[in-house]
Amino acid sequence: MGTPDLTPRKQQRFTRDAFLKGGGALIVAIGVPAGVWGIARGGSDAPETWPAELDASALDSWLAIQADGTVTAFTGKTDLGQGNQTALAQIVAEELDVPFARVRMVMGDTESCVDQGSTVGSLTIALAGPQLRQAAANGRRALLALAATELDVPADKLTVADGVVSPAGDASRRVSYGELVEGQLLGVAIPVKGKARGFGLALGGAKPKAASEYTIVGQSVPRVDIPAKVTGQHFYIQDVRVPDMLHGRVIRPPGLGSQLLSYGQPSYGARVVRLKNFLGVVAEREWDAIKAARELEVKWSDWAGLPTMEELYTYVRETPSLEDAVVASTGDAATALAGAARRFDAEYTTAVQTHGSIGPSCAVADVKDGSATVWSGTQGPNVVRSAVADALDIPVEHVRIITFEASGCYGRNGSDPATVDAALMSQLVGQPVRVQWMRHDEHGWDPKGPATVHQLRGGLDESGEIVGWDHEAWIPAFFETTIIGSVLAGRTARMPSLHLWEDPILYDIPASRQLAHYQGDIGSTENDGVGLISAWIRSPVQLQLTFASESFLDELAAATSTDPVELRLKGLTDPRMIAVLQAAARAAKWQTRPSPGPDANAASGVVRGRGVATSLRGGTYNAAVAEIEIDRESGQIRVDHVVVVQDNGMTINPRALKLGIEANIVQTVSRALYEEVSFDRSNVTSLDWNDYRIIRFTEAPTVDVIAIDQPDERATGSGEPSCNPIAPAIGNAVFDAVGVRLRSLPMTPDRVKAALEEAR
Amino acid sequence: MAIEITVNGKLHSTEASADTPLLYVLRDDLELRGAKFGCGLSQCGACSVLVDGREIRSCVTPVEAVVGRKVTTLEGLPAWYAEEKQLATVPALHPLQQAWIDEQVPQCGYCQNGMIIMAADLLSRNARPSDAEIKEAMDPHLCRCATHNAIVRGIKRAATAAV
Repeated sequence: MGTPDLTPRKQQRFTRDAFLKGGGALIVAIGVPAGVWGIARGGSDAPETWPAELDASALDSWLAIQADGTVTAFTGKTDLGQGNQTALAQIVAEELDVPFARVRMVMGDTESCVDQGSTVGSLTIALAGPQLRQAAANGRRALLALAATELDVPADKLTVADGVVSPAGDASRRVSYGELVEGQLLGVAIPVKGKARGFGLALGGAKPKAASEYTIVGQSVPRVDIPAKVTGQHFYIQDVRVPDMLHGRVIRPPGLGSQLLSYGQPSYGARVVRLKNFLGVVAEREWDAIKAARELEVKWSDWAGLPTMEELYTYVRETPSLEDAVVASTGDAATALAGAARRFDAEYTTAVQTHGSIGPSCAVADVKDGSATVWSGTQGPNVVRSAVADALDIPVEHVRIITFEASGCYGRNGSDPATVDAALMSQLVGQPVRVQWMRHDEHGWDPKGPATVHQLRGGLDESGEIVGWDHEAWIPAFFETTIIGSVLAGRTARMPSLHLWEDPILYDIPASRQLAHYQGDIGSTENDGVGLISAWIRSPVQLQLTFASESFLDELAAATSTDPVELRLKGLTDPRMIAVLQAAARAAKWQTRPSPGPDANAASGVVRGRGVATSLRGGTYNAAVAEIEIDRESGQIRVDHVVVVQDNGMTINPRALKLGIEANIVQTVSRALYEEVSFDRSNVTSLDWNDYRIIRFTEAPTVDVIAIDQPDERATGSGEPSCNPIAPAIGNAVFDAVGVRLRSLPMTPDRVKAALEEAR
Repeated sequence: MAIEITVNGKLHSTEASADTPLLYVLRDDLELRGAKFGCGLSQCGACSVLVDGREIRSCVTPVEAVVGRKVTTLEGLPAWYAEEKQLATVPALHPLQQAWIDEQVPQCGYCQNGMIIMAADLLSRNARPSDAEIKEAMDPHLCRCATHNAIVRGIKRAATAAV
């Protein structure tokens, strides 16, 4: 028991060499599970420095083999609760031919882990998986070369079992990996292609195993993090404590652009921490910090630059965009639409949503002598490292980020801004500070899943064929994400981010176009570029785009009295997408008939319906069928059952995959039916779970997950893509039930009743 | 003045002020990491502990309110179960903890403290709850990863496994 030993003075500076010589002893901080540990710096006066980046072409940057045969694999990725740590360890164990239990992962420490890009977009297994696989394959080759010398047998005449090398057919002569390496660095270079760091990194060298040889990858290995999570032994970022640490709480302005005018004397022995508009308190006891923050008298100026909620979608649509781009096109959509026999137009909108982590964001920072050691729950240790350096105005080499798992985030929640808050406070008070956001900080200030607007246009010829399709979308630009603490403190406050509308139109339509209008944050034109800060919640932009496009496709199906599955099968060309859709229809016992269904004309009561939708996200195929009931009186929708099919190529861990998808589906039902951030002209007003409601046990649908394994296809994203077809499948099911189209998320009872009223 | 409270069968003394929510005493003074800070508003259940065998929200319960009562946290569940069932030895895990591992229930796991604590309360009152009873009992607890169905499976498994 006890907190991880993070004592700066007690611990030596971590070096890979010392780590190896110590047989791993340095990372066995008490009770800390593999993958997270903290080692702070020694007590020198000069700024501590760390490499700007680790050399990805050095095998030792990826793997360390201890004398006892334990393998430690280092990854710049983090585990956000979907089991990355386990899956990546499976990949490493597989390539090295060592038992799974012998592999430990060190994740997200900028000192010891190669930058493989942030843990976002369901790209970890897809992109970091091959990087680690390739590193491990090179590791195996290097170890076989050592064994060839040791055993005096050519490397190609050697076999490996459980980390022990023997000549083929002669098990009596043997040498283990641990004995071969003897705690030394391997000193082997790996050819590196592509971008030197991040997502684009491609490792060459040794050829990895064929999928047909796998014995660990593809198995439902139990997740390594779960035992500690159910006994209270897991170290979340919220559990990190360091000596001499103060408890900090932030005090945010009432309006996004409010200026700090004055503040009073803090109570409970707390100290005020202030830099320009950045305000907080620190205290030795946590409860004192909470009370002092709550009770501090503060005067702020008024600010009211946000649109009202009623104006929101007009505002999004009419604010000049930062950039426009045709994302995909076939033929000439405008001409085709103009010449169509029948034309359909519809606007779809989606609300602002919050990541809503159950544990508000938290970070601990120790800034002194011009350098910073920061414990963070970030998805992106390397990008937050730059953000901290910018915020503190110190070189990035003077910053080390040590990542601990946080409460699930599903996108960029408050972790990064909370990390900067802790760093700023520690710099200002000259002592380690733990900043724990309160519930109102997380609900109010986590970057929000943004509002989007979609204009869909479709054209049919006389025979009912779709001849033209146009999807115009007003979606966020997200070239950068704003760090609020840095904004308030007057420091550099931008982190690189990405915008992702990348997947083409699924259907074979002769003339089509996808046009993106990339927008700035809401209200940012009124406040020097800082508005209602947004960042994607799973699955970046695709959930919103798919809601619009797959609902609108259903409108065209209904207009031609075509069964929705049949219409899709007719337009699809990719055999994997077709197989996924057919599997979903089969599992749902889909009855072929057009929507709306037979009970749609019932004047009152509860009506049942079913809807289907498909999506393709970064090479992952999904189809879903939702079965719902809707109460015409109350406007309540209840999702009873969802069938979801996924083909993400090779699957690393089938059970973890299925459980992750099941949870993702239930979460998305919550977002489709209930979730909407409220705000007034100044700021967010839904600051707790009463004002921002999420799904509960009695509302969760049963979920039937069908995963199609394709062991010979590359592994694509598995965590979030299955959310994409859920909202349109529900909306299409509502149409099937009552013949009314819902074009706005979330599908709240008020919106349902309004739509029913309008259709009357 | 120091306050004395009984947590997981042991008497502890804390310098915390009487109005300090139990949660902060458990986490900051006793260094118990099972109970989590989630909302501080009794809305989510991440902070749940048992007091005299019943689930309460430690984020809104002043520490002085549990003086003279028995507090059980996630860490103390196996011993609490052994006492409840009058077992000769304390098992390594409460049947719910074992079921959570067997069913691979958690995603991020942050809320699961409250889920297991609430389920322990439920099973001690109702050894064989129906699905509807489980969902009704668990409804005041939030899970953002949305592992609700896995949690229900975990509780049913534990109910079958319990002595």
